[in-house]
Amino acid sequence: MYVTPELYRALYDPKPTEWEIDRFARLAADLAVFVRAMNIVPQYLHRLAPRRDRVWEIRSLEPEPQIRILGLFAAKNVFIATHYELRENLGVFDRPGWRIAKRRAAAEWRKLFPPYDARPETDIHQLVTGAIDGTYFRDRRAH
Amino acid sequence: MVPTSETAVLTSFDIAYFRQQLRNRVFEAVIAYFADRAAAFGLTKAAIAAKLGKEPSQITRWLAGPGNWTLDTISDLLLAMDAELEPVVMPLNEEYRATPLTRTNADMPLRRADASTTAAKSSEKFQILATGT
Repeated sequence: MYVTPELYRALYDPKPTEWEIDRFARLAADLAVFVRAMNIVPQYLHRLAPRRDRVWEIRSLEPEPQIRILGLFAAKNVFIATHYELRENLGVFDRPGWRIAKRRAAAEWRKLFPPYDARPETDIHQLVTGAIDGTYFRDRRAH
Repeated sequence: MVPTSETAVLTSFDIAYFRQQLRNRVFEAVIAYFADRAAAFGLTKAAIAAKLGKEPSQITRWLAGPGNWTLDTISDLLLAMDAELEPVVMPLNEEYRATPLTRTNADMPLRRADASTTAAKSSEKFQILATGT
């Protein structure tokens, strides 16, 4: 996994409150799951509709507020984490909050890898080793 | 990250990180066992629910993430799968004393890039991207 400098700073820069320290430490631990866990489950990694965006999210569910890490795949097992969003700020799926977040992820990708496209697959097994069978992508608007 | 001195005070970040890591690792172990049993013997969430006298939706929630797990939750799930946990406590690996995001892939046996790709050649570490800004 690769993370942008902004995301890295969000994780590790000093925080003003104990609550923020705790939440971002747990977010860092949740991100590390991608790297070191033997298995990945759909509740952890999910591709966002529409599929043409090629944007995925990693979900950090606990404690509230939930956090989403957005990013794209450069290759199998190579996830480029572009930035994070508080789930509560994203609102209903594919409304402006989500659209802006997905556009930001895509923009970060283009800034980092201008000549290259992200991996287009929706089959999780083509992108991640050790994925447990399940629904990692729903081609629908509801979320 | 984690101090190397025996007497150094742990940071709040380290404490929270390792709490979450433990939660995630136990969850991973239970999920992996469930997936194995499901593939090999057709074990279902409904069967676990029936054994525990709970609604299937409860089992679905439990297997969706470790957020609300207690030790009792783990015990219940494992017992319903005819399994138990074998805890092993060991000294913290020096590798874990490094910043988690800079651990090498050597300790991460599965989630490696395809070695034939260009990205793989530069993905020896879980690292920060340069943005050129």
